Amino acid sequence: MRALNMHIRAVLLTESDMNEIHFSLNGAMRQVSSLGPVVTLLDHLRLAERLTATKEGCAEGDCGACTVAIGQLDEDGQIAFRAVNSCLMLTHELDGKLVVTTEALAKAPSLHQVQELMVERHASQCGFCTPGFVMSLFAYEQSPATRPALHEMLAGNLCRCTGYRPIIDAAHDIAARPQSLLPAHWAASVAALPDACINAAAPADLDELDRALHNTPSAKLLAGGTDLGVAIAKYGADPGPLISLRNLAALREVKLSEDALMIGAAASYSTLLPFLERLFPAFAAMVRRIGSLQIRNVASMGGNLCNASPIGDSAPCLIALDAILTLRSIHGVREVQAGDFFAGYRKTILREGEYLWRIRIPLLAPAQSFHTYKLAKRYEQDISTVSAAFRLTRDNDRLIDVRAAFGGMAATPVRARAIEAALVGGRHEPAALLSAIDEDFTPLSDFRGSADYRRQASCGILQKLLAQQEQSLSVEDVWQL
Amino acid sequence: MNIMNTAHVRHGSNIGQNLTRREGALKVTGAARYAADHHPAGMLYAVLAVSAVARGRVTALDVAAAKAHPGVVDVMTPQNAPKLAHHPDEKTNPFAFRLDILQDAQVRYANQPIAVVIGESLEAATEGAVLLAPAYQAEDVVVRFEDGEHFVPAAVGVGAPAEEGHGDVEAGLRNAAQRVDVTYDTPAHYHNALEPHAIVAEWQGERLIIDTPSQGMAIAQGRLAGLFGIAPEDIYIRSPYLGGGFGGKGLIAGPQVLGIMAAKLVGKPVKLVMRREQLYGPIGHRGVTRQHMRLGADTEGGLTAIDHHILTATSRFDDFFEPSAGVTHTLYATPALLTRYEGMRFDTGTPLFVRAPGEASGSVALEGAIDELAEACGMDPLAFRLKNYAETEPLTGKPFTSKALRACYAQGAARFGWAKRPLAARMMTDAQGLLTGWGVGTATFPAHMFQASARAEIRSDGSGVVEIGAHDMGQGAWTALAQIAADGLSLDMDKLTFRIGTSDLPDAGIAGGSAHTATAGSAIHNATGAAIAALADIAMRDETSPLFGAGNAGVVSRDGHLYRRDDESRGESYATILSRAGLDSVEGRGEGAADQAVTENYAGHAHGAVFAEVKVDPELGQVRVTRLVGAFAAGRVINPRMVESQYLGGMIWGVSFALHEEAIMDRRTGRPVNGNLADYHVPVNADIPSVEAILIDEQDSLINALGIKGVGEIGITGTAGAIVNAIWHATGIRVRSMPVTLDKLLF
Ligand SMILES: Cc1cc2nc3c(=O)[nH]c(=O)nc-3n(C[C@H](O)[C@H](O)[C@H](O)COP(=O)(O)OP(=O)(O)OC[C@H]3O[C@@H](n4cnc5c(N)ncnc54)[C@H](O)[C@@H]3O)c2cc1C
Ligand code: FES
Ligand code: FES
Repeated sequence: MRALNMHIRAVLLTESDMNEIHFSLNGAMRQVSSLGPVVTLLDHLRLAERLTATKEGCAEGDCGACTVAIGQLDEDGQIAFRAVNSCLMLTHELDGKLVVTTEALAKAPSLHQVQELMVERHASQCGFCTPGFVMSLFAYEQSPATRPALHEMLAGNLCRCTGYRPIIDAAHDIAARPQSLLPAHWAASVAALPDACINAAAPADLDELDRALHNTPSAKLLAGGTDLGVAIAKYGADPGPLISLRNLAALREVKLSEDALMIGAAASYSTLLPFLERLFPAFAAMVRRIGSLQIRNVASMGGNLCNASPIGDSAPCLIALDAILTLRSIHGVREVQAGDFFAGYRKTILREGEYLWRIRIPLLAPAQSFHTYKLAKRYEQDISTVSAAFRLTRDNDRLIDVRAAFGGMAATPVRARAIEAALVGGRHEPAALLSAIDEDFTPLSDFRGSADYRRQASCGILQKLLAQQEQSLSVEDVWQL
Repeated sequence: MNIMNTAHVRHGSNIGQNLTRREGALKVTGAARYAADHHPAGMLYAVLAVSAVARGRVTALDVAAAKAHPGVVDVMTPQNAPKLAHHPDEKTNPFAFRLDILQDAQVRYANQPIAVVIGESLEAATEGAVLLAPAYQAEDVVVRFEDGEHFVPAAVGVGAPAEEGHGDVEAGLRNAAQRVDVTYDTPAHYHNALEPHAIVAEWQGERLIIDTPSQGMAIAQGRLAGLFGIAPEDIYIRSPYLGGGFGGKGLIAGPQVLGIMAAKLVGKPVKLVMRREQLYGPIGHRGVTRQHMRLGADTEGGLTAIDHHILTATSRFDDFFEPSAGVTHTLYATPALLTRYEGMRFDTGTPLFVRAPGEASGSVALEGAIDELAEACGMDPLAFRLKNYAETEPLTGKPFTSKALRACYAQGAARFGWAKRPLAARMMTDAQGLLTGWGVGTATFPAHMFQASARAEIRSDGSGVVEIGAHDMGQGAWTALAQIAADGLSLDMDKLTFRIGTSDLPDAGIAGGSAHTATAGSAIHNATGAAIAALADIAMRDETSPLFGAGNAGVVSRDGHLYRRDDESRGESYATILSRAGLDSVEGRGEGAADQAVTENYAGHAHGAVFAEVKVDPELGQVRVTRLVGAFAAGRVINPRMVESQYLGGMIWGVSFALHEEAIMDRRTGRPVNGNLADYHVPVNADIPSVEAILIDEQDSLINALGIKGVGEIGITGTAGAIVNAIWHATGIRVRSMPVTLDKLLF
């Protein structure tokens, strides 16, 4: 992403605006100007600070060698940590936060328990991945209440040498230990940071955001920055002016009402997961296979939708669940069905100056169930070849309504009406399912799978769905081996 | 992950011990400094501009625009690149592969460097590289076997014959009761070590100082000395830690040379770090193969012939042919054997060594075909392998220096529970309806020895020093070689100063071919032996020493002391001997190399057996390896943890070979379609099943004085085949094109 760092200027800022961003790096305050070039945290660490423990393996979120822990003070003054990829994180986004790198963990002469266990378990060979694993494990160790499964926690860190077993062994050891105490000055250093930098490039309420977007219609919103980061890093795209959503608590709210779950567009997947887990376990299972923990800790569902990728994994779920999207601009608010949000390959219906505010997912009725499938070549950290979501409504044992949506089968994630009809109409034999698939889709061939595989696999998904219905198995999970 | 029945032969007090890695603390704290972590004063940043086309010429570069960008110091192109002492296409030795270092405007593969921008900051240099906006005259490319001429190469690998064998293969096939005639495809693989290639280069007059990851510092010195017209001694390389090598850092690559040239051009230290996507071109890869296997067996299941025909691609401008036939030369006894190659030229970078070069790709084809023949004969695949067990090396008829493969089969099978395997395919389904299958593959890798020297010193304070320019790319040289050194000097590890990883130390040879511990270890063994002998000599000639005149009886060393062999009550410490002699230290030097008499008369190989369980979803084609058990015999184990770690890591490469890895080239443009870690898949932790490596005891008194064979590469061989065979056993489908992705398992 650094190729175009020089281009990435904030929007419409003047010298008189509040422009200084402050964060704590390993307990010491750092100040950067939001008028200067935007740099990634990884570059800041390695180039400006010369803190070289944090490694660069890919610079696009795939390897985890750059993992650091980001801390925020919660209401009790405790630091809540999450692991992130520093290669995709812009330093501006750190305003008011604590960054912890591998260098800060050990208190000489003793190692931090995470480091000690990594050594004991012989969990490094070449060691290039090691600092990243150490930070993933540290963030895990520090959040006993919200620990994900071990394989999920480690999915964002690649190791080419060890075969992972010793690292997983170290992780098991850590899971069994109490969390370690943090140096007292870390929390103090965060508490002592000046107020957040709020300006047109980082507004703090929705009206300000409306105005900022109205004044700079070419501006892009920066939510988690995972899609934007890769677009810049990989394709050398110049995103132009950016408006950060980091100060907009209103866009990150997740609320449960009587009949729906309301999700702020910028809420991270990790914030969302506990709600999905409870209300739509199959949706949660799908989300847990989006990217890696480092990605989900910052990436948002709003970003996923607005990026309008044909293989975005949340869209099929939202379409099948009849979700309503609320779009907002200075001119007002409108609501659309999730299925109507995509205008074409990588295009949405968002108008100039308009943005996605929130997502409303109606809760399931007692007669309804929800199922998801993600097929990818690699178990984790992989883009879907085909993804699918189904909401089934039953009258006793009879299917009376099906909402089906697929990703990876067309230029956008779409509803599959012929398939829905076939399922409701009881036309369940493979030939009938295939002909419904052919009516709905003409998939493409690419290196993730041939068109024929996509057809066959979609048919496989339908058969699996039906078989699981018959056996009345609980199919709340994304299919996994 | 247990270490079962460890070949826990304790040599001195250190060898055989399960020490954890000595530099472990440096790695977990980030204190271990890799090449890109260096930052000498006044350093500038160099960024590669690489070609977007795979064949043709660069017709324009906007150097002025790049230079005008604030912070850009200079732009290196063929016009102003420092003159070299010889042309980078000159083949000065078999390891001098042609490099693309701005000798002209020609483009020979995608991602070939076409310019280097040097800037005060990484941002400036990167932006400068974008501003170059190159224009090309592109030519048609060939990146598929279908699209070009085949020919018989003069040699394959490094100087191996393109055709070998014995007996009448056609007759063997004709007379066979059962035959298989199948073709296995293996794709190109890129090393993808987590650490991208990086170099920090500084010229001090005619002297060159570089930090760069290297698996072969002395070879790099030689190559660089030739290119820059300076003496090898004037090149100082520091490479204490490599962020993974896998063969990709065995020879200095073009981009590293460009970093040095850039430093020369601007007269300042320069850092050049390759970006991940730039690695898919100029640093070598595992060549693509198409292997036609024809095998025959008699009514008893005894092989009558093996014909292994390999079609493989090199680059358009240099020769390296993936030597896949090696496994066929060594694994199964057959009265008729023929291995032969054809080559093709692709518009890619030149393929080179990637972990288990030749053995990995050949093993999948051979193990797959052997399994198919076992099926044809109605035999259990393990019984079939035992039936065709080679007592002598099939190609040469030489006896093996040692071969504990039977024990590997037996212990691996017992641990895995192989005896319960149904013979036919598609017989096992688990509780969730997943098809389950079991497969076996034989692992093998040659026990190479290269050339190394070492220096050992015993000091008057009773401590020791051992120096060797060895390389630790993660395999554990810092630890395992130090164990050999400490034992060689009969000292505890904490009394030993052990130095490796810089080019001013004695040449340790290349860390490749799984030969480093054997070769460097032998050099250390001999150097420490020489130092002890020198010390003993001083003592035995000193009338005041209790060892005076020990002469023919000799002395033994233990724990920092020398004792008379025939009377161990008579001895004294190293410190005493040296201080009485008024010496600060004594020194010994030693070499490590293969014993010619042994290599002429024996075949040296490590062996193993890998058992795999897979589960396949019948509706979706998703495959998962759920269990892997490997049993390996590779001579003496210096450090069981390190060895186990190599086996596990190798087996995971086998999983990756079978299910994940594949470089896909666009056939119209010749560009990699998936040149990044999102799309070029290596396994994530959840792809890795329960894996176990069993270390089988094997004593080898012939291979070298320490009895060490290599362990770094063997784990891949056998594993990929075992998985493919297990997939057949689960599904009844033979997938013969790697990797086995879900779309190849449509039912
Ligand atoms: C390593 C890696 C793995 C990934 N794996 C997956 C995967 O498995 N499945 C999957 O679906 N995705 C995957 N992604 C893609 C990405 O993580 C998701 O799309 C993510 O949800 C995007 O959210 P974000 O907040 O990071 O978006 P950002 O990058 O901040 O924004 C994405 C786009 O949406 C716009 N935008 C953001 N919020 C709004 C808003 N409220 N209104 C209007 N426009 C907005 C931005 O301007 C930008 O154009 C992966 C990405 C990476 C880097
Ligand atoms: S460097 Fe690979 S994820 Fe950041
Ligand atoms: S130890 Fe080398 S990549 Fe993990």
